[in-house]
Amino acid sequence: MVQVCPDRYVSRIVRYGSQVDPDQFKRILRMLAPGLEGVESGDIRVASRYAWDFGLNSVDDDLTVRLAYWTEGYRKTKNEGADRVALFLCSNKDSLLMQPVNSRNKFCSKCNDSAGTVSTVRDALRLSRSSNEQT
Amino acid sequence: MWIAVPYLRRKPSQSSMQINARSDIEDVSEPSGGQDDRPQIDTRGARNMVPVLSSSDCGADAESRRGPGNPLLSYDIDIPDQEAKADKLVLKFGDWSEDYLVPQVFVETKEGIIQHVFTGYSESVDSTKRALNSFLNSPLFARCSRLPTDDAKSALKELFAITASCYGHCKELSGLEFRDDSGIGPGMSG
Repeated sequence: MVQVCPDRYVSRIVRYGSQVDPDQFKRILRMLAPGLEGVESGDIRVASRYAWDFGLNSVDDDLTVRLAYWTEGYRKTKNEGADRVALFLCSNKDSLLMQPVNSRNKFCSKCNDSAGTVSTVRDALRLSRSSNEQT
Repeated sequence: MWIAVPYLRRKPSQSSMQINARSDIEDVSEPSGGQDDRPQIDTRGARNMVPVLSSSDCGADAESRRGPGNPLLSYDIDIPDQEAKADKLVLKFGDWSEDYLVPQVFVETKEGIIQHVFTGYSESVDSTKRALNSFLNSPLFARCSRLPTDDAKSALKELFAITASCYGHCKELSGLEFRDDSGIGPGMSG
């Protein structure tokens, strides 16, 4: 899941499942877009959600889902200026791009028909799986 | 036993921490000094605490181990020794990461088993509030609460009456607001 605002600013990326591997999530994030190569384990936080989290009146207290969060700039708050570079989601497809946080551009370089390569979420997942298989 | 870790952020990694035995956890519990059989709430350092709540039904043998009436203990993660205790609990039983999410809540069973039951939401304070409301109305909470239910809810609500700067949006204070008529989640009454 990618949490975006109307300006396509990505404030949060969440991976979820019955189990989540923070290390794999970190590798995925690092491949998502230029500028995310520096994602570290400390940038990722995990959470368990149970039936009661969702208001379900289940007496079964088994784990329902686990989440791994990456939050934009959460720990990297050295630069909070309006000119800082941040992650955005292209309006056309699931491409991520880095650009100044105050940019009005909502499209990746491909959609803008300009040069540059931007990884997609699917690409990153595929690369991550491939990497896992090799190791 | 309930454990929550608040909204103010904390020091860097504790990833090298080692927990080897249950005794590491037992000594995180501190008496809250109750004089009667009713649960007592330790509200010291209320903004940054890790509360611990036990009960007669599924909670700890608090009376024998920690003296009478200690259903709720809390640890302030801005106080180093309490933070270390909170870290141990979260590392061993909770949703641990180097910069783990807060709050986190645990319950300790009669058998001394500690189970994680709640983690705050990265998404927003509202999300945390909604989930906490749900949790306070869950069968598990009712089962574990030695207090009359409304009192137990009030106790936890007090613990979560914390504020912090709105993250990533503005610098205004934001916090959990509990409203029975909020329409968010099942509400706190009943």
